[in-house]
Amino acid sequence: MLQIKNLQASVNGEPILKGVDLEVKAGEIHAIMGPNGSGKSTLASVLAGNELYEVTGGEVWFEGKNLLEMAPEIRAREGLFMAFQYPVEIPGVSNINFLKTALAEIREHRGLPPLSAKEFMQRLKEKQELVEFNASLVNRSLNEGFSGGEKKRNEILQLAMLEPKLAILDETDSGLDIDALRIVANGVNKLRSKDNAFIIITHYQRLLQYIIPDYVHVLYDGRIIKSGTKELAYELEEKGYDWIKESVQASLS
Amino acid sequence: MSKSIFNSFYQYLIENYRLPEDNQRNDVTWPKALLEHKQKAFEFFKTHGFPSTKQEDWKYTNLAGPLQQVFHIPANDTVADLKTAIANASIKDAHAYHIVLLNGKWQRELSDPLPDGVHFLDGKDALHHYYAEEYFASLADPTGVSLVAMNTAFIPAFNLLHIQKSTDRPLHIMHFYAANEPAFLPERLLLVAEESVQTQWIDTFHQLTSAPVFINYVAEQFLKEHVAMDIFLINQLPSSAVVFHHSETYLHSQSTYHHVNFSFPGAGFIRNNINARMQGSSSEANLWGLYLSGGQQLVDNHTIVDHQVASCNSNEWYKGILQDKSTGVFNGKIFVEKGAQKTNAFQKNNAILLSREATVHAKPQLEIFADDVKCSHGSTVGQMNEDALFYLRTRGLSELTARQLLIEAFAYDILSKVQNDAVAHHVMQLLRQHLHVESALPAGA
Ligand SMILES: Nc1ncnc2c1ncn2[C@@H]1O[C@H](COP(=O)(O)OP(=O)(O)OP(=O)(O)O)[C@@H](O)[C@H]1O
Ligand SMILES: [Mg+2]
Repeated sequence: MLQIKNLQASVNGEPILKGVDLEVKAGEIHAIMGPNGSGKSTLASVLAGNELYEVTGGEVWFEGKNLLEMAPEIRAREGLFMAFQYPVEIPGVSNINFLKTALAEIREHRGLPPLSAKEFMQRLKEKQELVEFNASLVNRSLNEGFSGGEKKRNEILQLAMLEPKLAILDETDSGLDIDALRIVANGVNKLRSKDNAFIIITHYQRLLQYIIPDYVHVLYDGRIIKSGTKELAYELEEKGYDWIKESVQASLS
Repeated sequence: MSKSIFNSFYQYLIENYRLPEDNQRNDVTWPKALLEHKQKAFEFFKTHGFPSTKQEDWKYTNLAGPLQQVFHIPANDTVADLKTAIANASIKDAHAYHIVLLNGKWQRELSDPLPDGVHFLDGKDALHHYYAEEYFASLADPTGVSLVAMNTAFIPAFNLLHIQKSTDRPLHIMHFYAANEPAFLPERLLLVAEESVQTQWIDTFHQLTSAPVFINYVAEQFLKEHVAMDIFLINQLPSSAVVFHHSETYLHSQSTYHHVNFSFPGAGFIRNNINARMQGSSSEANLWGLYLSGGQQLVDNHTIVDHQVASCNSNEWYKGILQDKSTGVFNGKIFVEKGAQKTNAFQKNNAILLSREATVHAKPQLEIFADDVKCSHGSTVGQMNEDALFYLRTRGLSELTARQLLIEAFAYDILSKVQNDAVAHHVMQLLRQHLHVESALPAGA
């Protein structure tokens, strides 16, 4: 589904990603962990198409197509979704109208007929229940005045509505209380299938107890320096990152 | 440089000035008391000419360019096909009573019969009305604005709207202008709303011909006790129009004045003076404005909220969306006079620039002479929020749709002040029609 080969990116001329390699197949869940500032959000942003980041090298293929040549909206319509670490507040844009417009554009791109108003509401209600999203929030302006946790849940509601092939969750767990964490994880588990895939960026092994990853990767200084299975997450939780950093530095020198 | 402009248009006006008795075009006689106002106004205009950018209130608004043209005083009434124009100007589902004006003159046959208690008067009916002597030139002229004096001096007559009863449906005054050669078109309204009247009034401006016109429109408005008046002003004039619009509103106690001012790309030059004077306690003035500008347009909104007595509220919010090489000017004066304790006065203005070549000059001006006052103001100028734009695009919205959505969201703050769905919808359509997001994209995008 997704192949990242030697991806390099910089911001304001400063290299951040220094050669990322990653392959994600349909049906898989990958977790990406790593210390603050290692480039996790940058990787997510580059995949989503944020023009602030300049891709300086490498390739990314999504379902056999060159992802880096697509505008952000085309990536979304092709089935890529990113849940933001810091969702943006947009006063004056109603959550529900926004969802309607987004879904209509995505369905049109996929050659699907638009949903009727009734079908849309039906689907919204269903997904709202899935993520236990407070109904009054969908009628408000997009994320405006939402609490940190409400914003994160809204990201998952959008994910559920838009049904992407590949979803990247950037620290969706941070800022969630324990119940919300379980609800979000439950939602993801219900949405996962053999046809879609998830990349979950997190600092905590806690989320990975609910959403069991097939692979865990450590991103450090713009590179994936270690990959393993879910046991790696436990090891990181216990030992921190220093032991990996040291082994990398040792192998470099 | 002088504080005034005395150009060839000025010379033309001075040479061609006639008092109404001598004016063959005019079939109405002015009462002596009113003629004195006219005479005085002419002397004032003769002395002061047009304001130059040396005057603080005209610093960014240079009349020298637009008034280079000599606009002639029309010799005859222009004929125009108003039937189609009315159909085009009417607002779907507003169910309004149409009052049709051509070059300031009431077109009675083409206007709707007015409901009981609403009187529209022109010609000698207006001139000899008991309110004419009491109110005409009593509110706008003392402000010492020379373009108001010009209006008083040159209007052949004025209209009087007298509202004695609340209306079930809004009034819609359609101001049409037509001329076959460059024309100076002064127009004047006196409005009196009697005690406890509630009404909504839509005020739209249209030009039917392509010759340059200079429209000078002055309204003096008196709201008696407990009046609730909503005015929705929609300026749809095209680039051939130079517009000066001055409205002066007097609020008696417990009256509420709700003024929403919209303008669109079109009129090359727009100067609005929107002034509200709270002279009765517990009155409330709300001034809202939204302008979408384009081309080389200049849109200048000068407002005065004048708290003369205690316990009044005012809210003001002007927003601008600037495209192309257009310029926006906002000046918001808030006066809180000595005895005006327990005043609440709030003001905001925001502008977004959709083009690198657009400019905004914004200035709040607070003069507060009372101590028990809650007063605030805020002003921002910015570009479109790129983070928001990216966020929307990652959900599949095209860049155009996303920009459109963000601009509409920006406009929504003001549109939501229109307590009339049909009018709000109509304004939204105009906004969509005049917004060209494609060319607003940054170069290379
Ligand atoms: N827009 C930007 N401008 C300047 N520097 C940036 C920008 N975005 C990211 N960086 C820098 O790139 C590096 C990687 O940041 P990134 O947000 O990708 O880290 P992260 O791994 O997501 O960290 P965290 O765990 O704290 O979320 C940091 O040093 C950060 O300061
Ligand atoms: Mg991050």
